[in-house]
Amino acid sequence: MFNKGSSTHNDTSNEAVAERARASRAPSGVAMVGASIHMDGRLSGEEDLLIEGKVTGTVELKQNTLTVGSKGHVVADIYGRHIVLEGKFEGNAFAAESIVVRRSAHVTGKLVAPAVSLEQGGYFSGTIDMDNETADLKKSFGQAAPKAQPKAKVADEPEPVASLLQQTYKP
Amino acid sequence: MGLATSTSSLVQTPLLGRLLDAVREDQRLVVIDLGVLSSSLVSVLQPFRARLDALAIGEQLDAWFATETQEECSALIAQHLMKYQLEPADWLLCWGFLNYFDPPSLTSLVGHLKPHLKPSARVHALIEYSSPTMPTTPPICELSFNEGKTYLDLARSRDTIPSPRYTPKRLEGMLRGYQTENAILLSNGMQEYVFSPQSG
Repeated sequence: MFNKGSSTHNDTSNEAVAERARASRAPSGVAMVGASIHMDGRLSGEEDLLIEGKVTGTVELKQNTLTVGSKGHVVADIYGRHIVLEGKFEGNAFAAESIVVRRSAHVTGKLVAPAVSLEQGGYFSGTIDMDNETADLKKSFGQAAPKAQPKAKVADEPEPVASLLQQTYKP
Repeated sequence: MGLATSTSSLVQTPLLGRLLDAVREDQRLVVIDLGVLSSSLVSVLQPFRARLDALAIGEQLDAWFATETQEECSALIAQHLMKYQLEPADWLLCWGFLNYFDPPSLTSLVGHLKPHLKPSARVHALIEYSSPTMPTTPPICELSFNEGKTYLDLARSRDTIPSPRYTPKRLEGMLRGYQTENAILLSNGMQEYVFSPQSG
C-alpha cells in the first residue's frame, strides 16, 4: 500500500517535472530560458541553451552553443563554443569558435572569437576582436580555434553587390 | 534610413583596395570605424587577426553639436571614447563623417583619437566633394569586390543639406598632425583620402 501510494505520488511528481522540463525547452529540444524568466547571477552548464528571457550576470557554456533569442535581453559576460545573438545583448561575449550577430540583434559591447559575422541590418556598437591569439581567448578557453587561411588576395573574390543590404544607421 | 528615402550608388575605391591588399596574414590589424561596422568589412577581415572598434558616432552628433561651448563638446567626445578600451589602431575609417563636423569639433575629435592611433596609422576618409549639397546623414557603406577591384556601395539619404566641401588643405588643418598621402576624386563626385601622420 505504502509503495503503491508512494509510486502514485512519484508518477505524478515525475509527470509534473517532465512537463516543466518540456516547457523549458524550445521546440528544437534545446534548453530554454523562457520569455517571462528573469535571472540574475551565474548560469553555467554543458548543453546548448536558448535565452528568450532577461538574464544579467555571467553565462558560461564553454563547450556549447548559446543563443540569445529574438525576445532575449542579456546584460552579461557570456562564454560559449558558438554564440548566436538574435535579440538584445549588452556585455562581453567570448566564443572558442564563432559568434554570429543576426539582423534582428541589437548588440553593444565586445565580441571576441576567431570568427565573427554580422548579418546586414543587425545593430552593433563596440569592439570585435577576431584574433585567436588574444589574451582574452587564451584565458577563457586555453586555446581557441585556429584561423581560417586568408584568401591569397581578398580583392580577387567577386561578390554580387545586389546581395549586400544596408546596415541600419540611427542618427 | 529606409530604402524609399535613400539612394544606393556603387563606387570604386582604389585607395581602400590598396590598404586591404597590404594587410599581412600574420599581422594583428586594429581598425577604428567612426560609424557602425560594415558587415562586409567584418567578413573581409575575418581571416585575419583583426580587431575592429565601431564608435557609432552618428548617434552622438546631435548631442555633441548641441553643446554651447567647445569645451562641453570636447568633454562629451572624451566621455564617449572612454566607453571603448581602444588599443593603438592601424586604420581610422571616416566614411562620410568629416563633412558633418565644424572645424573645431573635428579637430577636437581627432585630438581625442590621436593617442589611440599608431605612429604609422592611416586615416581613410570619404567625403562629399563635387556637389554643393550632401545627404542629411552620413552614408551607410558596404564593401564589395569585382575583378580584383574594391568598391563601396553607398546608401545615401535623398534629403540634402549644404556641404562645406572641405578642401584637402582645410581637412589637413582640422586633422592636426596628419597630411594627405593620397586623394582621388571618385566617379560619384566624392573624394577618397588616405591621410598619414606628418613626419617630424
